[in-house]
Amino acid sequence: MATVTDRVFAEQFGHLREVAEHRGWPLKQIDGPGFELVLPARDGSRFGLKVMCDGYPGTPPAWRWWNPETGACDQPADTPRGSGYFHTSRRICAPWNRLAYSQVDPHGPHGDWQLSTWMTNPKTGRGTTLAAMALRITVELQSSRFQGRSG
Amino acid sequence: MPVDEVTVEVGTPKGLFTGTFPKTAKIEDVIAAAVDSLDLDRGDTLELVHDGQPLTPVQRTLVSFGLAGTVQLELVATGEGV
Repeated sequence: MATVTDRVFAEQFGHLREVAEHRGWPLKQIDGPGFELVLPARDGSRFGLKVMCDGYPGTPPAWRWWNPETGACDQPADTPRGSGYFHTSRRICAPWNRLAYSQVDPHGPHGDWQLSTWMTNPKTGRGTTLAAMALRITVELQSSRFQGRSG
Repeated sequence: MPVDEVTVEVGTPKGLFTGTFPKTAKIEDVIAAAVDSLDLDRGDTLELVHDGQPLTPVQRTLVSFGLAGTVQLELVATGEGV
């Protein structure tokens, strides 16, 4: 029997796939459930993300910067800087990222947020779907706030 | 496509929205059309973005931002990170 996570992920991943296919963003579903996504930046370079959605939407997805060639995660050279979302901890700083919570990830910048209330956190705003989250990251990578790679 | 029209291909929280508008249509009209079409949550916290730049104020027209032909936009929540 399909779980809530299975149903919500399937619907929202479909929306994300629709946008990604139109924009030519490489996107691949992986077990977990989760996905790997590559997004373009303003300087013409690309950034990979590995996203785990186990427990979603009860808990937010875990968005991790990821190198599609080596498979490594959280490396400075694969992590953008310059936006308020691109924290120096190399975590995406938003309530919709599980790794922003220090109770989940010791590098998470926020000990003041509660994982169980991520959807009603005022900072979440409309970032409550997988496509909304990916679009926000895309906008930040395309904006004048983007300042290249961390390393 | 007539030169007085703009086709928008908008990435939204619920997938892709495509529509053709007069070049004098306001940004808020495009947002409203996408919200209606995809049954998105209503409110004033969504903004359209083109090449990383928010299209604000939303009372301005498509042509006033230099948009012509077919353009790709993103519909996202307002804000600049936390």
